[in-house]
Order: sequence, then C-alpha cells, then structure tokens
Amino acid sequence: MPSGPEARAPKQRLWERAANLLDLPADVVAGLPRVEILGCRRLLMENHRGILAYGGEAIDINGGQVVVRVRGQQLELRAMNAAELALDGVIRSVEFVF
Amino acid sequence: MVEGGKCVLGVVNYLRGQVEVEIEGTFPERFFNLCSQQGVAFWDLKRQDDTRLRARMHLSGYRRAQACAGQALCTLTLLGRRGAPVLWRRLKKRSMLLAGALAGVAALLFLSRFVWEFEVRGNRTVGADAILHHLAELGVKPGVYGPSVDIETVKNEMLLRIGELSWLTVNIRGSRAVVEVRERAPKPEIRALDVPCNVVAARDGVVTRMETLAGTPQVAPGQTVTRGQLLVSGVVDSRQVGARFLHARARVFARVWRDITAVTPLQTAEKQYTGRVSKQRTLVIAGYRTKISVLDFKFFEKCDKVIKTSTLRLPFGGALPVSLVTETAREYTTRTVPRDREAAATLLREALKRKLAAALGGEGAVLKAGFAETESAAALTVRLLAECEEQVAVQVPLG
Repeated sequence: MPSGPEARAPKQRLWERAANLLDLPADVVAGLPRVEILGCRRLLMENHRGILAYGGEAIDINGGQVVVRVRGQQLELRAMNAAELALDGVIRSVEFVF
Repeated sequence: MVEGGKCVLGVVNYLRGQVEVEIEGTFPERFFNLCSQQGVAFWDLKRQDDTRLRARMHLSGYRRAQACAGQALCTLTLLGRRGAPVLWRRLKKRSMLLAGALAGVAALLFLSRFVWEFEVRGNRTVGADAILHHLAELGVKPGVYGPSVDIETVKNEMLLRIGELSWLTVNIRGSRAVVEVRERAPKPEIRALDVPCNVVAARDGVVTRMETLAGTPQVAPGQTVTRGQLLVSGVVDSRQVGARFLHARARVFARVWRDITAVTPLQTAEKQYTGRVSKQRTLVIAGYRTKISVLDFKFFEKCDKVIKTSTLRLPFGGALPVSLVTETAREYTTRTVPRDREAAATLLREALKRKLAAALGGEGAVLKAGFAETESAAALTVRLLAECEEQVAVQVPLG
C-alpha cells in the first residue's frame, strides 16, 4: 500500500462527494472514520472496521479506505465495540496510510 | 460512546453482569475484530505480556467471545464473574436468605409507616412534654400508624386543649413526626381611658416628684402622703364647662421606707445515705414496658428516686423506639446538724435584697439600706430597713 506525502490521494467515493456537495457530515453519510484525540493520552475512533495490528508501540486501525496508524508508547486498547474504540497510552503520532 | 459516564456505565455493567477473561494468542487483534463484529463489547484491556491480555466483557457476550476466540486461534480463559446476575444465581440457591432479605425489606417498608419519633418545634413557653402528652391522649404517640392520623382533628383538638397555642400542625414524614406550633401572643392590657378615676397613693411616703398626665394634682413634691391619700383628682371643675370627670393619670414618686424580715432555723436536716440501693431496669419498646430486672424494686421509707432513660439512637441521630429505663432508689436517713450562722445570714441578706428589688419593680431605686440581725434559740432573723424612691401612684375608679 503506498504511503507518505508523495502518495497519491485516494479518489473520493460517491457518498463522500454527495456529503461534501450537500454540506452534510461525511462520517454520518459516507461512514468515514471519525478520530478524536484527547491530549496525547487517549484516542477515540468511530466507524472503524477493526484492528489490523496490535502492539504496545503501534496500533493499526482499519478505517475503510484509510488505515489509521497510532504510534506511541504503552499503547493499549481501552474499550471496543462494533462501531467505536478507545486507545490509551502515550501517543506520539497518528498517521493515515492509504 | 464506550467511554461515557463512568459511574452510570459501572452501574449498568454491574446490573448486566460482567466477566474478566484472559486472551492468549499470537494475533489478539483478530479476536478483537471478531468480537466487535459479533457485537461483543469489551473494556479494561490490560496487557500481561506479548501474547496475553486481560479484558472485561458482558456476561451475555461471553459465549459468543468463546466462539470468536476459537476462530481467531486464541485461548480464552475465564478469570471471574461478577455483577447482579451472578449474585442472583448464587442467591437463588439460598432461598431462606433471599426470603429473609425480602422479609427485611418488607418489614422496613411496613414499619416505616408507623411513627416512632416526635419532635416539637416553635414552642417557647409551653413545654414539649405537655404538647406530646396531649397528643398522646389524642392517640398520636410513638407506634401510631401514620396514615391513620387525622391531622385536622388533631389540630383542632390540640388548640382547644392548650389555650396558649394559636396554631399547630403535625408533619409526618416516614417514621418521624414534626409537631410545629406557634404560641398565642399575650393579650395586651387595655386601658379603659373613658372610665373616670382618681390617682391615690399606694404607700406612705414623702413625694419627691410628680408627672401628671391627666387630672388635677392634689399634692406637691415635699409633701408627706399616707396610703390611700388622693394624689391626682379625676374631677376637673371650671366655670366655662362645669365639672368634668376624667381618667386621671400620673406617675408620682415618693421616698418610702420598707421593712422586710426573713427568718431561718439555725439547725437543718442533713441527708445521710445508708448505702442501700434498689434498681430496676425496664425495656420500653414502642411504649410497651418489659421489666428485665430479676429483683423486685423496693421503695424505702426515705429515699431519692432517680429515673434515667437511655434511648437507642442510630449513628446519624435518629431515635429508635427502644429505650432502657433505669429506676434507682437510694435510701437515706436524716439527722439534725447546726447551720453555719454567717452562711445562713448571708443567704437571708441575699434573699431580702432580691425580695426588695422585686417589690420595687423596674422604676424604683434603693437610696439607703441596712440589715439588723437577731438570734433566738433556734432561729436567725434578719431585718432589712431600706429607704427607697418608688412610684406610688395607683388608679382607683371614681365613686
């Protein structure tokens, strides 16, 4: 999977375009992941599609068209259900991998 | 949100029941994904080492999580169960304990309908005991069934029984009744200003000053007056109007001499306790008395009787309808002993001073005072001779 600043931005899907056009929240209409970071200790994510890799220093979360890679130290999954998850730990970076 | 309202969430999790599990596997994320797809929420994940994690999940999701663990090639170990369903399952086997708990709750609900504690508020001159005594006579006493109390009838009866009260209500909250009262304001003295009267002297004395508000003065300062002598006349005669009858009013101050005597015996009876004591303990539960002492209570011919009531109270101050009454009778004999003469004289002098101050009221003043003591065989007599300035005017109706 290409990554980094030189990587090509993914094409917008139909629902995303419709949401942008109609000025509607894309996370609701297009089911895009919504990521919320509280300081550098907690990350909350909605509309995830599961965890791809789980470790103390990096956790990869499937966000549909994008993978959210959280790097840091002592990272732990705090809670998780079908739609939401919460991570705890010292968050150093959050990367979107296309 | 999975993180929202920790306290509420904690209660919900407790009610739903939760399990603590240990997940062991090379790829625990597969297990997480399968669980989330199956709708099994989990929380409080703690990494034990590279391959082992601990987490909590709802009791209802545990079976599905076991299936997920099998698919994700992980081992799921149950570490513990907790919460209301677990407690219920345990209690279901102990039917008597459950029945006892239910009976306890039922007893609590039933007994809280009865009034066990009374409090009187708002009384100043009327004693709380008197109010509670009258209430008890009307049937409102510890142990009464709260809803059966007819507040309106109690109010009306109580206001008729205790004339000093102007308002009363009984607020029953659970097993506690608060009796709120308001006392009647004393009836003010009404001066019948239309009734003609004279002002006369109440005592013998020498007039020092006069303040005549209505009527014709008949004496002047410096003049000696005797008891009953007319000081201010209520009859005013004039050529233009003729005789008019007034409600004469005046304040007349005079020097008067007071002679007050007090006597006390020089021998007194002193108590000597013999050491014989009789005690009786009674347990009072909701007004019903049960004697718990084995021995019978003895009254001596001469004894001090002390009654001590200890009421059982809850840690936060609420009284329970259980009290222990201890009655103690302590026998004594009396013997006659001589009194200290100087102490007796001091006592009499103080008593005479108090008596004089009470006789003068707020308006009088003592100008000179002296004591004379005489002692007979068995008694000491102290005589107070005081020169005072006091208000001597009193009104008497005409005719």
